[in-house]
Amino acid sequence: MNVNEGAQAFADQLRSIGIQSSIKHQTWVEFDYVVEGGKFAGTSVKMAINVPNNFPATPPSGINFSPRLMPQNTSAQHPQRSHPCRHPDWKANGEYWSRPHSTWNSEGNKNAQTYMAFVRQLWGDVV
Amino acid sequence: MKEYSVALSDETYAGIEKHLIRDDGQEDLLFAFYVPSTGSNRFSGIIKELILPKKGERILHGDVSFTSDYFDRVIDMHLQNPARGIALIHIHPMGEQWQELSYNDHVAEQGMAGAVHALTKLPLLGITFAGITGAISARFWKKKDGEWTPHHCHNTRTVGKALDVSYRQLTESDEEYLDRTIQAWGNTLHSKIINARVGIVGLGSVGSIVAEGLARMGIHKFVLVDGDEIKKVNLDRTINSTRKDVIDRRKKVSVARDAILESATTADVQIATFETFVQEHEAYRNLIDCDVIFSCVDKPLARSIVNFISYAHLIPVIDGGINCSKKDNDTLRSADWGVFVTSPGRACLECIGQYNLGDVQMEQEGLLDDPNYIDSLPSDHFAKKHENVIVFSLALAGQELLAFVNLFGRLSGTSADNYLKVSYPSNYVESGNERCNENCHYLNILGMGDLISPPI
Repeated sequence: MNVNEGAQAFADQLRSIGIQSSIKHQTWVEFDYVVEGGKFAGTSVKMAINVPNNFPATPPSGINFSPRLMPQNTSAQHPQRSHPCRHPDWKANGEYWSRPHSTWNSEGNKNAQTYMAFVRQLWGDVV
Repeated sequence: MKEYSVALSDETYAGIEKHLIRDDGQEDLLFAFYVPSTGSNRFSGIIKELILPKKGERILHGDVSFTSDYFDRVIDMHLQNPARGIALIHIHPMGEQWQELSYNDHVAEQGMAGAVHALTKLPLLGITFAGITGAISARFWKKKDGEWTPHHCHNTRTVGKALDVSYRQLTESDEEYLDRTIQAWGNTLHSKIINARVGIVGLGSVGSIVAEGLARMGIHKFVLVDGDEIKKVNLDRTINSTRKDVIDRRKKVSVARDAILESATTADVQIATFETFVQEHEAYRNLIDCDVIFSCVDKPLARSIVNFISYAHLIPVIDGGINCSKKDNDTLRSADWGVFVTSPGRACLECIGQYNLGDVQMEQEGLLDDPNYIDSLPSDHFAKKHENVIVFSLALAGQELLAFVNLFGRLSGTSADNYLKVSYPSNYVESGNERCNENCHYLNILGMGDLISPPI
């Protein structure tokens, strides 16, 4: 399987912070994740991030996870906003949060660690 | 390759000038490294690093020559970072415009061309700096019929807040057509402008007007990129489009090409058209052949790609956007438009807020083409906002064309601002010059050319 360069870089950087992941469908970096804050703190999910080929120049568009935790609501804003999962294997029981990292270009460290800090903050906003 | 070129930032140019212009008026030289920038029809060398001679490394005797110690040092530096080519730069103190090779220069450069190519796998780049005007002339040395031969550059480009282009051969204007234009801004500026190859990404409401304006100003080399057809909804703003174009399902680039051919005021019009989007390989490569690119698009992915080209390949981009807002009673509150120019020393389109990197990936994943997803977005989201009127497009296109002239201008009082924002009906105007934030990705890829993977 050809692996997207960005996905490989993201997976390597996750490993450096102690997160073991695998790459599926060339661009999807999957790993087990325990929610650290907010309403779902302590919940275990399978997380998948679709990583652009030119990461870290361009960040992922948001996070996908399974199982679904919130009702689908595409018209609300964060933290209630939730879309059907975009991961090819999790469409039946997954969820997608379209949450672009709006300040990525001004981040000093454009890496998976910085992105995961953003993800932690997203979960923490769900109260 | 049909054409060759050299690009350098104004900062690099200043370093060369400082070294070569001597108080005693003698010739001097220096080595530099260049990075390849490969378009579809043009190979450019981007001067990235100057290697100034140390004491005793060159011999000044009216003419100038370098010692083997100097060349050995350049080779050692190259071996540590081998993806770059080698340039030899020297000055003709009394030179004015483009300098052809003298016999001595020819012999000197030809004599080292083989060794440099064997070491770097890239052609030697010879550069001559004209001491009187600062014009730069250049050639790459390649083997032809068993002999190392100069392939002269079509032009050289110094890119900063201004774009200073030196051309080897200038296409002359037909003064019967362009008399009033030349009378207005003079032949020197006019010659530089009309010999540029200009890319236009997006031939809709603004791009079609930009194309028309450029053709009438005398520009005659174009790269046009747009994958869309003319639709009924475009007819109120897209200049030169007709009802028949809608029925015939003509592409916007095809309509623009025909209009340019009708309106052109300079002979020998060259137009490369791409009925695709900028993320397609051929369109992308042809834009790297350009000296300036107009970004007349409204989506983040295309903007991010031309932004990348601008910084990685040192090609200035002129971008614009229009935003209309309405009152609750369905009347226009305001229309705001802005022109943004990117080049070294100016803020990139990302830093100035013309798009967001997170949205780029959303578009790449197809979300911004998904009607269900777009329906779910707030009403003020950029993906839902298409309101526009031709008068706003005309105003924006006019400002973009003025920004284009200012790039080449160096006229007295020329604005170095990288943005201009206008608000209607208040007629509020704001301009300024911002720089990229210190962590901006595009600062790290400045002039990296082919060494950095393209975002397509």
